[in-house]
Amino acid sequence: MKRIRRERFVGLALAALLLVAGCRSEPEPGVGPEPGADVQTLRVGHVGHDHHLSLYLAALEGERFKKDFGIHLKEVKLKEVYDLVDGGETLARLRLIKVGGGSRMPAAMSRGEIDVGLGGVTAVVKFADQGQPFRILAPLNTDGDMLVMQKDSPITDWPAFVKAAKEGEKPLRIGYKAPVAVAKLVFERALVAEGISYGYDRTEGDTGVILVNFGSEKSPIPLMESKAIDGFVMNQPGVAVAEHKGLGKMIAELRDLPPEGKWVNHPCCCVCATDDTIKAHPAALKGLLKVILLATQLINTEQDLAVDCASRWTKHEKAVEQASVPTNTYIAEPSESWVTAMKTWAEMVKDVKLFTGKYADVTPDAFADDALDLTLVREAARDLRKKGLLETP
Amino acid sequence: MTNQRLLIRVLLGAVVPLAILVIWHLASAGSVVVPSIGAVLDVLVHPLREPPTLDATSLASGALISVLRVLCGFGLAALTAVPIGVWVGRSETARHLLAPTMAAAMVISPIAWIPVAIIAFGLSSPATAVYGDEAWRYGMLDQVRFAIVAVIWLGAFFPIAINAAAGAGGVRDAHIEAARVLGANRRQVLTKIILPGAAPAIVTGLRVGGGIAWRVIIAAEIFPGTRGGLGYMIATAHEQASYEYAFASIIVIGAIGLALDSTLRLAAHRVSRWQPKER
Repeated sequence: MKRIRRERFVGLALAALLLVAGCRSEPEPGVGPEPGADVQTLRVGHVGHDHHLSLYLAALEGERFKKDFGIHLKEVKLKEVYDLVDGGETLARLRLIKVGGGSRMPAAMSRGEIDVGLGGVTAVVKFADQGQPFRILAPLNTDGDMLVMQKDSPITDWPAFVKAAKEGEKPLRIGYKAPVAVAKLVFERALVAEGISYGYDRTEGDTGVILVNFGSEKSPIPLMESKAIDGFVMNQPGVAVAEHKGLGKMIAELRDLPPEGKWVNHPCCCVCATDDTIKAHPAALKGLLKVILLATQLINTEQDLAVDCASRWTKHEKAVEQASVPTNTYIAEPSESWVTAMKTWAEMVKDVKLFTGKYADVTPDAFADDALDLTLVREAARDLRKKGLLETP
Repeated sequence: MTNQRLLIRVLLGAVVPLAILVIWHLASAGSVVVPSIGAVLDVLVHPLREPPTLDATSLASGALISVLRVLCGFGLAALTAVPIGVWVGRSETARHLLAPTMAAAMVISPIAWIPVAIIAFGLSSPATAVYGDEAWRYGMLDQVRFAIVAVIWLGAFFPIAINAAAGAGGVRDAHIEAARVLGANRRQVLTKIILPGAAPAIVTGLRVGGGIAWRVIIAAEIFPGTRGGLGYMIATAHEQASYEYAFASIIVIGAIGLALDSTLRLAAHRVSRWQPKER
């Protein structure tokens, strides 16, 4: 009898669970066009960290955008669904999908799960190199990659790092988050420029630096705490998190590493889309780029607002974003120096044999002509400038 | 059981958990990665609170989403694996047809299928299947992604099917013959002889499959577009260095897994009550 009662209880508990789930599956009240309305939906993939702050700031500050600029993102469901509205006309419904970093965004785009993507330049171009019809529409940020050492390390700057790597008794173990991460590629080239030998294993002869992949953790924190690595190279906000947790100190920005001046403004994240999306939704894409241009302007002029929005969206502590946001260079309008930096970066990627497809044998100029489609963002900037909404850089 | 014996039993049972707590407390001193017991308790006693330092839903909501995903994948596995397993157990043709594939597939970690599941199902869910672009309006239904359910199904299917096959194959032919002599038709042989005879093995398979399904969910919840679930919470907590949420999720996973296993063990006990009598 007792057993039957227990089974009934379990059954009732399961039924209650499904009932709760069922109730939650009722449509949630939303605003904006109802299903069936003739508004196109754009699925926008993003990573969720502060490199994509321009999108998050525009999403969180919709009312201000409406008042100040006329074009804005109208919240339908926080962090997930927004209507892109320009002067009362809904250009598109945006579904923001957090797809994860590295190659996950371009992979999702290649599977047709997203139409527009915000993510790292390296991963996007790697997919384009393999034949995916992706184009970079605009930059999002540059720089923001750092070399961090253990907090108690005697190494406090790049010259000291070079000396320790060349003359130290033991090789320095430096972590990185992914084989194609921009930080790792820049760091490797800097080691080569300094004449420091490096490898991935202790058995690789007389190496000054051993590179260690964080693996699936995507975070250097456990390896730093266990002292399994002496330092790491990574983008923000990973650096700020490690510093905030008291586990590391930034000793060099990778943009300053040798060869001198080569890595200044090195590309990080970008906005990209497929050829089909560019052809099918030019007005919506242009509207989205306008919002990103305006948000980037706000990030660069109102840093407190930028930090606040970054913290509200990513849920990182404000102190972390206060340390992280100022070290990223946010740009959305492609300058000549950014295009040049893209070409420099393409050369570097070619050097390390990362291109094996259509970009393997092309010149940097030909690469830029094919990979970049900056028409929409330049038109968007021109339109905004005509209205006096965008300052001249 | 005397009070003294009960006390000894309780004390013995508490030794390992207490040792874990002591080690945990010592390890957390001055550590960033290992959170204090208090910080984890704070998360556990506020299950409905949106994590202030983590881009994730509340712990309770995450647990509910994970349970739903597991129930869908595991339920589907039980519904498909038991009939196929019984068929393999009783039919020589089916055994020759399926047994080698099942044995080979059994040893492949279900996590290895994650990329395949992503390619096959993408971000689709019951909500996207019915409501298309408006699927976001059906929050919980949209979170039951087909790709996640498929990976859980793959994890649970093979142990259930293989155990069902072993159970059905182990039913004595003499019992089946006796039933037939007494006039039982094929359906009655299946429902009155084979299924009850195979039931203990089937329930054992369900227990093993349930355990695997619950373990797989943690890896499967790193799918693109996922914003909820205990696996997502653990992955995000590691990325954002908010380890108290990772530890709290691990404890909840253990508790729910224990409840799931207890339920299946209860069922196993019930269906195998006849076994000792036969011996």
